[in-house]
Amino acid sequence: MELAGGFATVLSPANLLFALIGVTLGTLVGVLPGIGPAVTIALLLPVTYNFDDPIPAFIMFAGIYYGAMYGGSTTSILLNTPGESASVATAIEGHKMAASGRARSALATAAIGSLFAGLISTVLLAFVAEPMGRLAVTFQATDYFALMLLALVSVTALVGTSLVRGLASLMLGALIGFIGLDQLSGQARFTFDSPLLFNGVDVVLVIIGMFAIGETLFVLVRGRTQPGELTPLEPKRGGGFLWLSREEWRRSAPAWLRGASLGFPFGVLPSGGAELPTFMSYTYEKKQGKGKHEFGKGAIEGVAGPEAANNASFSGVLVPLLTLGLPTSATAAVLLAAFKIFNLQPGPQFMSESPDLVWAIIASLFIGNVMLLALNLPMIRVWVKVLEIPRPVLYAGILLFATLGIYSVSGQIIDVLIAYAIGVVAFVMRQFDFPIAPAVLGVILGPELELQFRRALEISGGDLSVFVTRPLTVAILLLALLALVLPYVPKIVARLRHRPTATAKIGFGDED
Amino acid sequence: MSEPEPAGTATDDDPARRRSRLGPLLVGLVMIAVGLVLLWQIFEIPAEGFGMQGPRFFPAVVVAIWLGLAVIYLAQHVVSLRRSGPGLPAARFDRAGPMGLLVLILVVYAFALDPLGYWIATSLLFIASARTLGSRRLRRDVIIGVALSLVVYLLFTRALGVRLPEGVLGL
Repeated sequence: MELAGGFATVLSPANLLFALIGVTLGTLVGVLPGIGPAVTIALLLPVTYNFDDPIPAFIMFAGIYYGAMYGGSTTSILLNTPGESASVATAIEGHKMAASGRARSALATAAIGSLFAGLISTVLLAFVAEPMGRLAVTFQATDYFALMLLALVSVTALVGTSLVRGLASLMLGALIGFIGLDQLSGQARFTFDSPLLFNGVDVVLVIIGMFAIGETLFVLVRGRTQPGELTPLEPKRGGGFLWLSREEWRRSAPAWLRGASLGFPFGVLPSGGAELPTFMSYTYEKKQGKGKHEFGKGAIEGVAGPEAANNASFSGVLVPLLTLGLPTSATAAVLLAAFKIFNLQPGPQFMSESPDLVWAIIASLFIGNVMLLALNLPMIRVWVKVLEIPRPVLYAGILLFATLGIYSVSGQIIDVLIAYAIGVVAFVMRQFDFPIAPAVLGVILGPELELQFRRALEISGGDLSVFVTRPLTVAILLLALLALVLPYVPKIVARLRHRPTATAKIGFGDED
Repeated sequence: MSEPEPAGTATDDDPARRRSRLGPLLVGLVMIAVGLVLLWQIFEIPAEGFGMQGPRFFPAVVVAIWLGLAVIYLAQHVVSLRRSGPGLPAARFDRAGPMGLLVLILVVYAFALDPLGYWIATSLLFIASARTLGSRRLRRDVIIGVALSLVVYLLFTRALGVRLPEGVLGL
C-alpha cells in the first residue's frame, strides 16, 4: 500500500529527527501568545530554503504545525490568551479548569484528544485523498472558479462580525494579489511603474506582516506588554493514566470523537479551517454533552471537543489543498507557499505525479501527532518557562524572526519594507475590527480566481454561459450563495417571526 | 444589511473600550482614496478597453466593489452616529507615540541592514524595540540582543545556507 510506503520513508532516523525538530520548534513558537500555526510555519519557512528534498521539509512542517497548535492550546489553558481563533473555544473552559487546579487534566485532554482526532482524521484523509484526486482530474476551469469563489465567500461570511468589513478585507487581499505582472498578458498591474513590484508581493510577506508585525503593534497599543497571569501547574496526582483519571477518560473520549467528526468534514469544505468546527463542537458540548451542567466552571468536554475538532480539521483542510491546490485557511496558504519553494504544484496531478511525497506527508502527520504527545506532556515545564519570558523581550524576538523570515524570501530591502507596511495596515484593520484571514486568502485566491475565469472564457470563446451550463459549477456557485446568506438566517427567521434578535450575524473568531 | 454591533461580540478584553467616532470616518475616506488611486492605476495597465479576458477586467471589478464597500462602511458609521449609536467598532490609539517609534525603528532597521550588516543592525533592533515595548532592563536586552542575533546569523548563514548581509564586519 502507498501509506505503508509513506511510513517507510518517514520512519528513517533522519526524517524522525526532522519531525522531532519540527515539533519542538513549532511548540516553542506556537506557545508564544498571539502566534498561531500559520505564522509559526511562515516564520520557520527560511529554515528549509536550502533543503534539496521536499520530504524532510514537509515532515518538519507537519511537526511544526502540530507543535504550534498544541503550543497554542497550552497558552490558552494556562494564560487564557488564545494565539489563534481556533483555540478561543479551548480557552473558555480550559482556563477555568486550570484556575480550579485541573490544569494537567486540561492539557492532557487537549493533547490526547489532538492525537486521537489526528489519527482518525489522517486515516480519513488517506481514504478520501485518492478518490478526490481522481474526481479532481475531471474538474474544469469553471469548476475551479466556482470552488475558489465558494472558499472566499464562506471564509469571509463566517469569520468576523461584519460582512462589509470581511468583504473589504478580502478585496484588499485580492488587490495586493494583483500587484505585479499579469500571469496571462504579462502586463504590469498596480506597480506604479516600479520594476521592484513586477514580481508581486509574496504571500509569505503578507502572512508575516499581517500576523507577526501587525500583532506586535497591536499588543503595544493595547498595552498588553505586561505578562499575563500564568496559572500555575498543580502538583501531579496519583492514579489515572497520562494525567487523566478514569472518569476524565470516560468523559473525554466521546467528546473527542464528536469533535473529530465535526472537524474533518468542515475542514474538507472550504469553510475557513478550524474556527467553525471548534465553535460548533464547543456549542454542542455545552448544550448536549454530559458535562453541560459544569460549563462555566471548567468542563473537560469543553476542552476535549474543540481541541479534537481543531486537529481533525487540519487533515480535512489538506484534502482540497493536496487534491485541488485550493488553500482554504491561512495555514493552508502558507503550506502552498512552502510547496512553491520546492517548485511543487498541489492539484489533481499532484497525487499521481508525486505519490511518494503525498503519502510521506500523510504518514508524517501520524508521526508528528505521536511525537507531540511523547514530547509535550513530559516537557510541559519547559513550555511554561517560555511563557514566563518578559513580553518586551518576547515581542522584540518576534520582530527579529519576522524580519528574518521576510528578508530571506528574496533578500531585498523593499520586501522588508512592504511587509512592515502590510503590518501597519493589519494593525489598523485590527483596531477597526476588520478580519485578517480573508485578506490572506484574497492574496492567493484573488489572482487564481481571475486566472480560472479567463481560462474558462478562453475555452468558451468569451461566452459567459459556461458558468451556468455545467451542473457541477452551478451547484458550487449555489453553495457559495448559500454561504453568503447562512450567517443571516437566524436574523431573517426572527424577523419573520417578529422577534428582535440579540445578534445580527453569526460570527466566529478571526486572526488565523 | 445594517448591523447593530452586539456588545457581546467585542473581541477586545479591554473593559474600558471606548470608541473613536472619527476613526471609522478616516478609515472610510482612506479606503476611498486608495480606491481612486488604484482606479487611476487600472487605466495605466497597457490594454485596450475592459474586455473580460483582458488584464484590466478583474482589477476593475475588485476596485469597484472596494469603493462600494468603502461607501457602505462610511454610511453604516454615519447612520449609527446619527441614531446616537456608538458608531462602528474602533479601538482607541493609546500609546500611539511608542507605536510610531516602533515603526520608525523597523524602517531604520530595514535600511541599516545592508550597510551595517545583520549582526549589528539586528542587535540594535532588538535592544531598541524591547525598550520601546516597555523593557527597562537595558543590560539584559543588550546581552540577549547581541547573543541572539549572532546565533541566528551563524545558524542561518553557516548551517542553513541562507544569505544574510555581512555589513561592515565582513563576518
